[in-house]
Amino acid sequence: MERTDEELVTAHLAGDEEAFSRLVKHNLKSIYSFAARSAPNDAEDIVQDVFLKAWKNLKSFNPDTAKFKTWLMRIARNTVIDHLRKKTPHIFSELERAEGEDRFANEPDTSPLPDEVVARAHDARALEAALAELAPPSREVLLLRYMNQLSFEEIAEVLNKPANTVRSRHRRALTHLRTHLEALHQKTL
Amino acid sequence: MVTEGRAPLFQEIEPPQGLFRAILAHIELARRRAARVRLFAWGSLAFVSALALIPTVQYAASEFYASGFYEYASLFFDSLSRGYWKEIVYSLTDSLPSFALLLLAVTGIALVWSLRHARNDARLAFPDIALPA
Repeated sequence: MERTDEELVTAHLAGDEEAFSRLVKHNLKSIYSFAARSAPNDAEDIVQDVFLKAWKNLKSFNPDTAKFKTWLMRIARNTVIDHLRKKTPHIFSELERAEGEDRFANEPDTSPLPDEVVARAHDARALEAALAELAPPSREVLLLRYMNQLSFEEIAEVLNKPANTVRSRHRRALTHLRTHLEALHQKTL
Repeated sequence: MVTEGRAPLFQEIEPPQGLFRAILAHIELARRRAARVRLFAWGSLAFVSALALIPTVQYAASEFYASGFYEYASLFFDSLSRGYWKEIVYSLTDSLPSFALLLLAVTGIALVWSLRHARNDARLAFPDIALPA
């Protein structure tokens, strides 16, 4: 029977050399996908850094308080931010205030449903293009939600923010995605 | 959960071939590097404790001679036949140079312990070299 990630962590800490490579195998695709969409040019370096950090800090992981998947995703998210900061230092400081809220916090909530967004995306390429246009904080919420399939509570854990903040950030991200999709649509007409 | 039970909006991307091996190689390299650092630390401790063992043994031996322990020890078998072995055992215990023994034990344990760790780390740091079990 396939062991869960948490069981593999326990096995690795007990000295099972194979367990960590299984953990890498289990999570490689989702971490790579997140990195490739967040920082396409550095995805491979980011993924290597993520698993190296995970390997170094595995002793600090507590399966009673967090899922391995969200713990690893948090490392991935921080590593992506580090890489982006190195390349474009202004991007996060400009968008995020000290409290961690972005500059769109007071915009009216005209959030579309996710299905509506999909319907507007005539094909996956348009969706990818619109996603690439988004600011990193918006993009990461959408990726965690609609690619990594995390719940709002899990995303809150990854981003280290309250679940309600995540929900509102998610709504704004969908609005922005819709705006970008519409703009792309206009261009193609 | 909204996303439960349906296809994700953004499909996961297949990682490039060789990335998995590259990650494991990267980790192996870090493991060896960390093992080399630890090997240096344990090796240094083993060297220092081996050096410290020489004066500690000399000190313990001189304390044994000065304490009268050997004299009591030589009377022990004689005392068994004469029936005063208990007194001799008490005298032996009293005459034991405790501090010198404690120092010897600490130095010896530090040496064995650091050698054991150094051997384990040497195996990790240089897996191609056959080391004694």
